[in-house]
Amino acid sequence: MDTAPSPALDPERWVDDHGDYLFHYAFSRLRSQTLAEDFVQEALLAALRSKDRYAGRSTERTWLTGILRNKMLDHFRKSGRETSFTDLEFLADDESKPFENHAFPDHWVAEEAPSEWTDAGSSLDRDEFWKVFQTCTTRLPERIARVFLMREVDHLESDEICGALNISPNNLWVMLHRARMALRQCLEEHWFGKPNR
Amino acid sequence: MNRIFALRWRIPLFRRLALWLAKNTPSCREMARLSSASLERALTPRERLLRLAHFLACDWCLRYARQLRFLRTAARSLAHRETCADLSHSHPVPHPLPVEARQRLKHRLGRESPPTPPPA
Repeated sequence: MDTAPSPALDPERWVDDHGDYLFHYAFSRLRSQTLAEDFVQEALLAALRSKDRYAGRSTERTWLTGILRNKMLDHFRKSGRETSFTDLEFLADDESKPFENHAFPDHWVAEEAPSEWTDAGSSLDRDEFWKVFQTCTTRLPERIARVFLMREVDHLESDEICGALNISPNNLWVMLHRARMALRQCLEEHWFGKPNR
Repeated sequence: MNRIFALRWRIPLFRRLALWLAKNTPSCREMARLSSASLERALTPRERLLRLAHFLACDWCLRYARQLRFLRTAARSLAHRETCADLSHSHPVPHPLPVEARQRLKHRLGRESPPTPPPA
């Protein structure tokens, strides 16, 4: 088997081609421009150092994102010693409200219950839907959003996330549950609930 | 299908059965937790049975479970959409790299970049 021709590894072009994407990736998980910039820089420098190991098996973007993700996981691992529950407290109200049914305790209140989402699948092709989706994830408290993005967008396994954030599986499940609940509600309000659509 | 399903509220015997199920299966609050858990781990046979029984009585929880699955599909297609976005910037990301940061990055990488080694 021939060795694949090594693709032109040009860091300036990395910035042009993937800079926006990598920055958005880091920013949506860190919520800080300075930190996001630092991480993108660190990841690109690391990529530069290890570019001989880039085998061209994945796309350049996937490779760079992988390096960036590992840098961020390391950071969370080091800084995430304390288990803060403020985010959970923040969402606790949201969790109880839909179920404050006095006649039938802990069952849906009619106004808060999930409504029918018509044509949900085709929403995925619409740019406006993704704007709403992004806004809704941004509204989640930082740690909750981070956990949700790691699990559902980055497709990390539960134990990987628990290890990196130093949280118990139970804690992770509660956070994911709250994230899904809040996100579902936000989408219903701002996308599926739109009257004339 | 939904119409047939809705019949249970019209036929008295079914109506009583549905109400009985709603009262004797875990609450909707519990169901919401279980629906989320079902995306993380395999439910036990008991949990699956209780869930099914609850769904027979409760359209809202069934909808909730479906919508959570939709969220998962959406999040995964978001990953695909973002990583595979073409490079012509026709799909701008919500938080693009600020101009000054772009300059700084290029500058920093330029300093680090060693002269291209001769091919081995």
